[in-house]
Amino acid sequence: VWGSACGVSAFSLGSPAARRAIDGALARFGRAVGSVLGAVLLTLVYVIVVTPTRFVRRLTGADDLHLRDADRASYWLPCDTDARKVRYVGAMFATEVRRSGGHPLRTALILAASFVLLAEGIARMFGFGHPVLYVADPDVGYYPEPDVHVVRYGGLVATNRFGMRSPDVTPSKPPGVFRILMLGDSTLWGGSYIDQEDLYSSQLLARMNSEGLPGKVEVLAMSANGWGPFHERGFVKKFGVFGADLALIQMPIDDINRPLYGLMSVPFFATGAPPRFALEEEMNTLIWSYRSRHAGLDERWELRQSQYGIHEYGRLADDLHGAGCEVMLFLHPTQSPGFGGDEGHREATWTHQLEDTLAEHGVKVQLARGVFAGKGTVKEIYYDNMHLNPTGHHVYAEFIEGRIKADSTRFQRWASGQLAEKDRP
Amino acid sequence: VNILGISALYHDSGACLVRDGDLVAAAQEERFTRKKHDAGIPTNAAAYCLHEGKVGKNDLDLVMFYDKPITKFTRLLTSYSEVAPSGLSPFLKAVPVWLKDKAWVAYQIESALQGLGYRPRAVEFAEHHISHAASAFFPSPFKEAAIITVDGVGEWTTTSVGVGEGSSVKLLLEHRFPHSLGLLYSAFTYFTGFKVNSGEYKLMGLAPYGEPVYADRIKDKLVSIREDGSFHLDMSYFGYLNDLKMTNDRFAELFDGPARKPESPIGKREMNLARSIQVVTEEIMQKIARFARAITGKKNLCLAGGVALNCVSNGKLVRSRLFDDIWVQPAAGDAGGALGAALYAWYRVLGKPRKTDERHDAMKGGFLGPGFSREQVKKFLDMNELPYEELEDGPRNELLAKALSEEKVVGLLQGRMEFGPRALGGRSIIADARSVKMQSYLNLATKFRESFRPFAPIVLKEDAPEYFEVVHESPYMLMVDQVRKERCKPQPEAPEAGKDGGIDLKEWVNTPRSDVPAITHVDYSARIQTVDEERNPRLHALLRAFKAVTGYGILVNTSFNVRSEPIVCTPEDAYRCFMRTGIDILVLDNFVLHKQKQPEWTESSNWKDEFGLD
Repeated sequence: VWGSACGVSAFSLGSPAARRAIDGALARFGRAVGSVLGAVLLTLVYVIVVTPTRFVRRLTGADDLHLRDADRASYWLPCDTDARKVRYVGAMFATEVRRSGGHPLRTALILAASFVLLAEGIARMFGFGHPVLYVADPDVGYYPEPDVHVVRYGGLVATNRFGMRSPDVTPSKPPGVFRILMLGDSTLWGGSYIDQEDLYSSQLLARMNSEGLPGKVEVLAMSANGWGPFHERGFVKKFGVFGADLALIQMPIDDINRPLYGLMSVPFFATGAPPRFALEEEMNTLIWSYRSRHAGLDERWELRQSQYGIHEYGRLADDLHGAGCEVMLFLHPTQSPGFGGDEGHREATWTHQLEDTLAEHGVKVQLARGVFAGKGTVKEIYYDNMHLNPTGHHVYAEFIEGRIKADSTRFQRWASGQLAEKDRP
Repeated sequence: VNILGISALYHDSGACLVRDGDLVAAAQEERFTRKKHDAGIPTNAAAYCLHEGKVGKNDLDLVMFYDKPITKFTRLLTSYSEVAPSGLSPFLKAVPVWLKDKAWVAYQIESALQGLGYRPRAVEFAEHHISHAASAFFPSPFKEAAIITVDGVGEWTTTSVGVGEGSSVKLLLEHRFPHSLGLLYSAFTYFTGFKVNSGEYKLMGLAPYGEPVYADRIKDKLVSIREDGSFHLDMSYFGYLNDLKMTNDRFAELFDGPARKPESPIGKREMNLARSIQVVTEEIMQKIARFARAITGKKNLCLAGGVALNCVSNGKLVRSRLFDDIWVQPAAGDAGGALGAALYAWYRVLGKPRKTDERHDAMKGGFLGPGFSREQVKKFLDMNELPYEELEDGPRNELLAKALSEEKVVGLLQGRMEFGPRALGGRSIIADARSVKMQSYLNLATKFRESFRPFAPIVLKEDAPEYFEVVHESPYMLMVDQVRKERCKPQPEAPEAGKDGGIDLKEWVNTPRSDVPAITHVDYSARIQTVDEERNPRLHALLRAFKAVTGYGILVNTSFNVRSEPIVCTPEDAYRCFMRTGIDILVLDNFVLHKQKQPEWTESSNWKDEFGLD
């Protein structure tokens, strides 16, 4: 190609006539290509837009060309008023008498059906209709379907063979690997449709492996939207800790109010019963949201349930310790403490209770107070009062990394090569 | 206030300058570009109008376009959405043109005017049939009148009935695309082998040779006609919604075979089809007129739109006496829309009062185009070293009268050019109407067109009753009437078709039908132009001179051009046409040129290739 181009160029440089001929030929070629492309594009428009329009118009009874009303007593049609014609003399469109659109009910039905189809199409474009499904489990309540690959709002949601939003891992820990098991709710799952790469668990994995450590670090992020301590404990009991050296419990304080419940209490679809339509998924969420707002928590119930929840976190810590893990608990801050402000009274009270209880079980609560200050605006960090945006995830990953390096004795020993295999789970 | 009216982008573009309600100038672009039915932005015509009106570079107040382009495009898309998935071919042809050109008409107009150094204060848009209606009513002599506009299609409207009163024009009722009398007529134009938007005159001229044997079939199958003149086309017979053709196979089946190929022999079927669609058109126009009279209560009628150029139908409207008086816009086609749009802006949009003496129209005889001074003509002749003689009007007319009486053909360029499709004596070829051979000679040797086509007479207005039955005033050649019975001669039976199905029309045409055979059609009709001293004094004087020699105040008048060529505009155009054709004498105002004295005319190529088929 380059040889031909150079040859043609040299030839054209030598002769103006040849140059004109080449120019002309290329222009004709370009015009022909343009015409063909234009024709192809317009044909697509004709097939995809104009042709369906015909059938929709026919269904709605539209007959702008008056092809199907030959039995009228008179074919004259009224003209628009003179005054309106004068008023719009500057416009490139003509004014016309407004005509009734045939059968209103039929038109409304067709329009409604068209709207539904359009909404379904748009929802599917955003990934709806193909959500992450959940396995209903009598012990865990529910957990994400393994081996899922879903794109939603441009973000990838993928699970490994255990339903973790992490790279695939072997059931048993390979030699030399330091394995971290993270357990949590939507804040860890990335409930605001955070892309897989931006999750703080993924970021933590990347950060931990970027430095000169004696071996590979694996991060197993097991979580689900709506999970609480009972779900996490159920999961650990049923599936174990995968040989994790370090277990990180990730929670916002409200998680203490979550008892064990199954898919009937959350707007998720079970494996084997996926949504048939994108709109079905959206309607399911809307209905759940409406019902939740109108059947919300009662303060007395919260008071009682929070005690159960805090107690359960203690028992989770025990379970993890019992499985050989070192345990850390990261209390995910809401916006105010995240930027160095105060928690609300209720949040502060529960935090103190949680700290006291977990201390009894040998676990220190890590609250990321003020960790986001100076790292971005509220909008950049938080998606809502609790969930984080990608920037927030990155900052939070840095915080967790720092705490692990500072507070995890097992990690420190492993990193310095002093952790013997016999001391590990 | 200077208002420039523009019509463009479809067929017959034109421009018109209206200053304070007065028609200053108007011209069609084709006359300048020499491209028949030129549809481009009329830059040359606009330049002429602005120059003629001596409009200052900053004094152009308003430009009015005669159409609403977006609505037209919407109609196009709506039509396709009615027929898809068929209709892809016209869609692929039309949409790129729209996207590239037609949707940007305001920009194109402004660019063209800026190229001329003008920056209009505003560009506005009148609806297509409002423009036609305004062109019909505002220049008419009537204080109030019913208005009928009929053409192929505007934005959506194809036919409308309205009323004009003082300085207002209101459309009351309309027909919408695709139900169009103009397109119905054009479908037959296409089917009989003539060019759409151009050959309709030919179809009208062919009609008298045939019989209306298909009229009932047309009314049974193609068009339902109500008593109020409204009509409805059965689109299953037509191709113009979903094809590049006007008619389809069903249409051909209905009319006994496929469409005639252009330039192939014309047979009895084509003649009968021409006559049949003419009869149906006249019936519809009669009914619309009766309806218009009833709903408006007006005693006068104004007509415009392409179908208003059907002078046979117009003549029948006059003879029906449904209205006391009828006035037809001489530029009834799209070019006249420029004039209508400009007048609409002045009277209706700006709300200016309108005055009329109820006798004279405002068209100035139709002579709104370029004229050439004595100096300009002389300079042209001298520069080209062309032999001529310069004569005062009296001697000139005597010379011409004598030559005409000796069957000489005269090309006449005098005064300003006509606006509209008719040559009214400003750019005309004239000849002796008494000559038996003249119709055939002019068609074949001078205009190089089909032998069957009739020629129109110009007649002294005061002598019109001597020659014609009813129509005694038709200054714009828009009425057909019958030649008086006592002048007519019996005709033999129509000739039989030859082996190729064609009929020898030359023999038929050359059979004398009256004592003015060159202007008497085979049905004894004639498309009349009456000439009065007030509107057209020089032509009137020439006719009187001819009458002094022959006793006949009547001549053949046909447009100064050859087939497919626009009517000549300049002395140069006229001289070229003169030398290419069988014209014997050329008159450029007071300069007379004889063919035999001219230097030999040579051209490097066949000039007939310059013009396509019309």
